[in-house]
Amino acid sequence: MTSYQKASISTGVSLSKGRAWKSQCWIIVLAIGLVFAFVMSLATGALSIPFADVVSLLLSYLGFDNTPSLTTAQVIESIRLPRAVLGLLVGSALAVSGATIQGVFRNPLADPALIGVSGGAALAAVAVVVFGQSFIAYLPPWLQSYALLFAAFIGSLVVTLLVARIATSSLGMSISTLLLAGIAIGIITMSGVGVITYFADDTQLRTLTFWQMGSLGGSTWGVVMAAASLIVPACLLMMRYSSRLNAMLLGEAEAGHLGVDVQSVRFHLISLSAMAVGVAVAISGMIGFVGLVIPHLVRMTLGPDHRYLLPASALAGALFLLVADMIARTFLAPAEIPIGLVTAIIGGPFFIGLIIYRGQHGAL
Amino acid sequence: MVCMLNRYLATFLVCLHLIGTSVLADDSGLQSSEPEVPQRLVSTDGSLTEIVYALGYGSHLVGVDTTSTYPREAKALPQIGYKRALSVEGVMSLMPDMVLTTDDSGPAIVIDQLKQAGIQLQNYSAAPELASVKEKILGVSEQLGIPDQGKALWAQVLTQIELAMNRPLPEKPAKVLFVLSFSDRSPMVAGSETVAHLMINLAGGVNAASGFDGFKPISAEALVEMVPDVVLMMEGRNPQVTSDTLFLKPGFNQTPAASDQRLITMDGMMLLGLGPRTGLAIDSLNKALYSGQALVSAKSGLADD
Repeated sequence: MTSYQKASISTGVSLSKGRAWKSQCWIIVLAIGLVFAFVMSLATGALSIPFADVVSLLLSYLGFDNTPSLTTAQVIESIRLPRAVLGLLVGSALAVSGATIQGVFRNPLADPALIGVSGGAALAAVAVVVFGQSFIAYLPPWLQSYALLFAAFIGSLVVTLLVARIATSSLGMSISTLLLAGIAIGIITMSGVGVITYFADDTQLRTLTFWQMGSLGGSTWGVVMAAASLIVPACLLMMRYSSRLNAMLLGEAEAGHLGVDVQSVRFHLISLSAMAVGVAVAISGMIGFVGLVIPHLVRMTLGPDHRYLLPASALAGALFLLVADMIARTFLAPAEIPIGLVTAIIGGPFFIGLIIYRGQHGAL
Repeated sequence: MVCMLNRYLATFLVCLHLIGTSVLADDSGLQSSEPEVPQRLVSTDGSLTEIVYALGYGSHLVGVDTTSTYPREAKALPQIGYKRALSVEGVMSLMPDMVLTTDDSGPAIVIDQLKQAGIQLQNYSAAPELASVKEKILGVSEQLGIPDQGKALWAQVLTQIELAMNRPLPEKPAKVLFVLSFSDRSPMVAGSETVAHLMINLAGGVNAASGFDGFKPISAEALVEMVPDVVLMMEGRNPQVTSDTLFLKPGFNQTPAASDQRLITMDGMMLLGLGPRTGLAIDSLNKALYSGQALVSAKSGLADD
């Protein structure tokens, strides 16, 4: 561990004290914003619940003697709270994986989707929805909520490793081959989704259509716990690699000289992001632009130091998804907009702005 | 974070227990005043909405899904979204004392959460058979406390179907192809195990698309091979397909239907909704198929051919 710390200190990527202080401040601001958004998302919804009731319920958790009304407690605890926690988990999973993948490929436009992670997860999840129902019915109930998540994780891992394998020759892993292979495999998985969709019956078809647009609806504590048990460790482990990611920013050879085993770090990080994104995709469908836009925003504000970039991305991703979900839940209430549409509507124009900015200023 | 989750989970379990007991208490309270007509109904299916209106209880509806397009008043009600993408809170915010669902309503988790929240749900079959119509009409009328009116409505539907069935059929029944949608790509047509298949049969026709279940996109060649005499579509789709444009498309232009310019369009909910207008739909489809070749649609928009 010490050699890595040394590496990051001596790379010059590590930052002056002033910048580190600024980054820490931003992380605190994001954390406060996230707490605020979390409380707000518990207080907003189609059903109007007075803000005071929400506060008194939250205070009662903290040990203060309050007796909130039963319906308030019921709505918040069985509907809004699991949903908010899920938004938190999915948002950080997507943003941290996005930041990590961009670091691994030293390409600010890289996205987990680009190396087949989302495609593999989608293919496996769709296959389970269409063909797996009879099989899942035989599993014990506690395993059923895991079946889809696990399938998506395996799917994204298999596809990602396949892409990595194609890109690896005796000379090591080539980034450009990896991206090309990722795009090609991505197209294959998406046509695989198309083929399975062809076999889906009417009901499954409509389920799939809405799943592809993304939603945090129907979150239960079972799903939340299953997701947390995979996403939280994956994100924490990715953050442990931040110093090594910093070293890798200098280039493969340079990172190698600094004592970083580039190949194995890449392999670990790709697997971890496959795990986080696979689970996120399985639960909430396709939620676009979080993995791309959030790490960008954070990098533009804090700079490229992964020790701050990854945690700040986790906080900002969670914050963004909570706000997007609030819009999704309330804008057309009592109906609901698929959250993937909300993030794309906000994220799409932002991404275009980013491209234009990049064209004018040369770099990001 | 995990520690925080655990705490929430613990509180949640405690509260779930409290909710459980309170729901039980509510139930026993309700039993004493059983025959209470629901005042705030939410319908998650267009056919159920139609039934509620047909029974004269439209004013009790406080929310409907996007498939509830008939009667026109239903469109003015609060929208709960598409029936397979319901939102727990959205439905709860309407304070319904009963939610009418079919097997099509979902997602399943949302339905479970509504049940857990103590909301009363009444579920009906969505299977493509006449029995579903009967089950829905009789079931809803029973919930509204007017079973006799339900029986009368069902009898009326049956009469309309019998009317169609008693009309003389030609020796060779018409081969009808139901086209759900088509863009520039392959058209989506209805195979067996669909409501369209059932309606075509009941109206005295034969489904031209056989050999597969559900809706499938088919190629132009397969279309020619099916030799449909008539093409059946839903109306009110944007842009509305006319026989002029339809029968110029590759595949369609080589069917017997093209040579006679036979396109029948019908209100989608009336034709496929399995609601109280099912009898009317069968009757008018039967008429459109057999009483005079010129009759193309109830609408005058297609009279030019």
